[in-house]
Amino acid sequence: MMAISENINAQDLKSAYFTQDYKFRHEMNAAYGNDQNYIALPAMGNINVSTQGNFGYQDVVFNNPRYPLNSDKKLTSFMNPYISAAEALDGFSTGNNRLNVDMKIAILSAGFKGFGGYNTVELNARTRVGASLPYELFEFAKNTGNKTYNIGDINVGAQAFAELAFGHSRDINEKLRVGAKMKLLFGLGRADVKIKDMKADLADNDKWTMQGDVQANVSVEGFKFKSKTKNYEHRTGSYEYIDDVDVDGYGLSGFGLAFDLGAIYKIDEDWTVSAALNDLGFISWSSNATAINRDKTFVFDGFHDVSATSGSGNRADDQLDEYGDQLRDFANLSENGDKGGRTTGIGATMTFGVNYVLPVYRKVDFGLLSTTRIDGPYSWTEGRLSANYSPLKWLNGGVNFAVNSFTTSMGWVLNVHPKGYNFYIGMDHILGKMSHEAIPLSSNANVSLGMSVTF
Amino acid sequence: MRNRNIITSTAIMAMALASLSSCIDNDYDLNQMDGTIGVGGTELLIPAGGTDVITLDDILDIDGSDCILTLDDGSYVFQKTAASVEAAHPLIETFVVRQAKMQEGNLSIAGAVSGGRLTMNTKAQIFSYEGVQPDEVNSLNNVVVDNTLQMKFSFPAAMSAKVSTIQTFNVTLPDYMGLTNVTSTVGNPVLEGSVIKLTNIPTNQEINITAKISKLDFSLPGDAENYLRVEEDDSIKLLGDMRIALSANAGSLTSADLTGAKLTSRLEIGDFTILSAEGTFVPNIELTDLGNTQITSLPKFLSEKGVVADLYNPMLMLTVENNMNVKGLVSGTITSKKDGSQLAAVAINNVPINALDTSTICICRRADAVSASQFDHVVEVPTLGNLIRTIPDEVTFDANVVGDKTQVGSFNLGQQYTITPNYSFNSPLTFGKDARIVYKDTLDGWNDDVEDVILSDGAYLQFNATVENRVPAFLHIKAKAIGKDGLELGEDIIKVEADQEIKASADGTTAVASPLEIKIRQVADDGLKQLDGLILTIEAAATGSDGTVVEGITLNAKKHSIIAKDMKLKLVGQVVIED
Repeated sequence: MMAISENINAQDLKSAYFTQDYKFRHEMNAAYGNDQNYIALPAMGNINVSTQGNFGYQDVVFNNPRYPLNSDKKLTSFMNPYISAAEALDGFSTGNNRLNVDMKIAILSAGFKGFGGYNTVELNARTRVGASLPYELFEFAKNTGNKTYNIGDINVGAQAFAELAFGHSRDINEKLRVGAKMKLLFGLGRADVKIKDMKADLADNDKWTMQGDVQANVSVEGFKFKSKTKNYEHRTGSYEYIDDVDVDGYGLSGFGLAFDLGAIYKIDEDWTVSAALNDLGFISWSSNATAINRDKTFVFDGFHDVSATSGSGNRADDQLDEYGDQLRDFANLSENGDKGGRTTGIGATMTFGVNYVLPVYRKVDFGLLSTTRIDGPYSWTEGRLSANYSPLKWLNGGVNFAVNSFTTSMGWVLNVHPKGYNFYIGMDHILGKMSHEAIPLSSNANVSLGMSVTF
Repeated sequence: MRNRNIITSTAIMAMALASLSSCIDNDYDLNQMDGTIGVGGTELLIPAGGTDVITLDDILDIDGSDCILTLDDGSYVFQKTAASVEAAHPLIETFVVRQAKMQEGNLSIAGAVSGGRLTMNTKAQIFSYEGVQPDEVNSLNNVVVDNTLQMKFSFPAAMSAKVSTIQTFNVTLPDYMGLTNVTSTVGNPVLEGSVIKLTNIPTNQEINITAKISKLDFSLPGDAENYLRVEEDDSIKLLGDMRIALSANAGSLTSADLTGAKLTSRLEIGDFTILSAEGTFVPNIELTDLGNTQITSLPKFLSEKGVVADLYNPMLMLTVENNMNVKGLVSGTITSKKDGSQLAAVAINNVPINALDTSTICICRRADAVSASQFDHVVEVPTLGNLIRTIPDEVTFDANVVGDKTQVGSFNLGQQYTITPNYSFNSPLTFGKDARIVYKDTLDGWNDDVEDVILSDGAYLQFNATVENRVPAFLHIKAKAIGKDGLELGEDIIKVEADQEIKASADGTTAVASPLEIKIRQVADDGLKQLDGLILTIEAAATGSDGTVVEGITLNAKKHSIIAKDMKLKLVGQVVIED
């Protein structure tokens, strides 16, 4: 079943992996260095924003078939009854429907030669919001019928942390260059909401069963769930439910450590291979406010022995109230206490690259990059073939084509690096049409740009 | 060179940023988002369960009704007692039969001696009385009087000189006179019927005999000289004579001795005041109205339009307290009215009333359905049900109570008697073949939940159940949609398809299962938005659509019930929640 990737996806411009003098290749492979020292413009030196998913805006939003005769709105959602179920569900993946929004901003970044190699110091802010929604969830919503919906796991999560990274790379010999990076991770916050093993069984004519184990984990300094207590409608006693949250103060929520490792091997003048393993680490969060749904199953099997006599306690209203109470325990989140902390991984990324310089025209080279996100069942992989061109000494770039677990992509990069100054811009997935609110219609988009001072 | 590079790179950067903004497609604007959603799919069957046993007591509300109640065994009864009326006090005044004639009594005794015996047997005096029988008296068998009879006899000296004692001396009076308390100044009188017998009477003393006349018997046939009768003109004629018979040893007495001698007789009888009478009577009973019944608060199921109270055996319980020793007859007309208009009138003829008793009389539609031993009289009036076929708001009983002149009774004249009538309807709620009661229930308050909801084109809601019926009546179920104002919505807005018949239990015990299906279709585009609920109408009738009749079983609050099983709610199409 599908789930969100709970860890940070690759937040670097893979289109630039083979781009010469792209100052931030060490983000993807710690063995890379630069010919020049650089200092990135604070907060503007390396900005990477990406959305990635196998469903998107156009799978959810449709042209309104009732416009303009019966509605003054041009758009509508896939839930609109005037859009057939087949058409509405066509855009969703029959497996997991994933959507990730990632952002990485280099607050400070600098590289310089020294200690027999190339050294980097970075302070990055990294944020990820992700959701993973099974196809059956959409089918259940759109085309509810008397069948069993094995929806599976639903996950929504967000994480933000800062990393202070120290990197060093050096030539081992003429052919081999290696590098490593140590990252101190400062957790700003992490929230995960999971509904495990969700299932809606409506196939039985006499009984409907809903099941799902909701677990919410929030690790944010000063965070608290705010609960209210209400009396049950039919049962005796009361129940608590979370109706708000509160963050009292602000501070670091966790600390962690991660390592990047990389190597580049130059086979000959034309061929170079490289490999990297990034984000091998963890964050230990100091708090873990948890919430759960008290009942994991809700069964509706109609109204039994309904009495017509008021005060019998068994009227339809009474039983409806009882179902309401059951549903409250099933659907409401209630506090389960602060478990005192947790440790989460941040996911690892494995990269292999092969680069070939066209011998007859050495301003052109080709690259093949394999990127694999190692994250258990949430892993994804991508292959990207690129062609790079360096027409001028201070200007180069490339175009590339990729196939990944979500979609096929075409990317490009332009790197302007005259002496003393560097600007780059690129996309791993060409930004197609965006909505008025700048939401990519295809859900896949990546923009990366930055400016640095070189010396 | 450096400046040129900067300019070039800046231009490239500007072009790149411009390319980003050029990707915006303003046709995709979330402000242009229509949030209408549909819930459901092609078809969605929702389990709805079933009901507990729903008894008639759960359904039929009789609180506040002044005419429907349940007995301990749960039987429903239509019961209404008429307002009491003043008792009647019939009276027949005493009347007097007065003396018309009393003949003198000086009897010659010459020739009474023969063969040494003195004997005599002769009519001593003749008398007659007359009176008038009151109108209230139809016939008389006998009457009670309180009269005194006095007789005085004295013998002539010629006789007493030679005959000192009369051995037997008998006085015979008419046999219609009831004599008692006979006394005599001489001898010991013995009364045998209407003959007073004396023995060994001294002849030198006057004989004074008194007797009470306590009765006059009109039933004896009499003869030409002694009779008591009522003439056709209601005049009472009493004619009689007093005979004397004596016997003595004549001794030396000869006929010559008695020449010119006379036995003196003096008879005195007062007027007859009739104190009581046995016979047949038609006293004037001033009772023209047995009471008025007001039915002011019917339960709804008997007052809805379409109700036909064709009760299998409506009963009117009449009680009459009568302290006369005269049987009576009640006749009259029971009239039912509604809103001042007559619904029906039923004639009641010659309902008997017991004498000296409180009569319980059941006037009913079917006598064979009544336990006769519980009543003094059961009177079958097949048309009685017409009175309440439509439940009236007023019932009157105009009546005429008379004595039964075919029945012999007795009457104390001058005494005021009392006749007190009461009546009540006491009818088991038992269906006749045309009976129909109507139960309506309103299920409302839905609009808050559906005011933003419509059904997609062609969609409908369908409710199905199997109804097990233990009510001895066919249940015709209908439903109408209503809006927030409580008024029915037209079928051009919401169409409710629910015209079903639940089969009756033939015996009120054995359950009969019938399917029930109700569909709610939205006809107008926004029909569901106007819906606030349903008015459910259940007509319980004795006759089914196929002509089958179940009648004669009293509805029972505890025993008669329905159960809905296997309830299902099906949504065909989608529910649309508009933006």
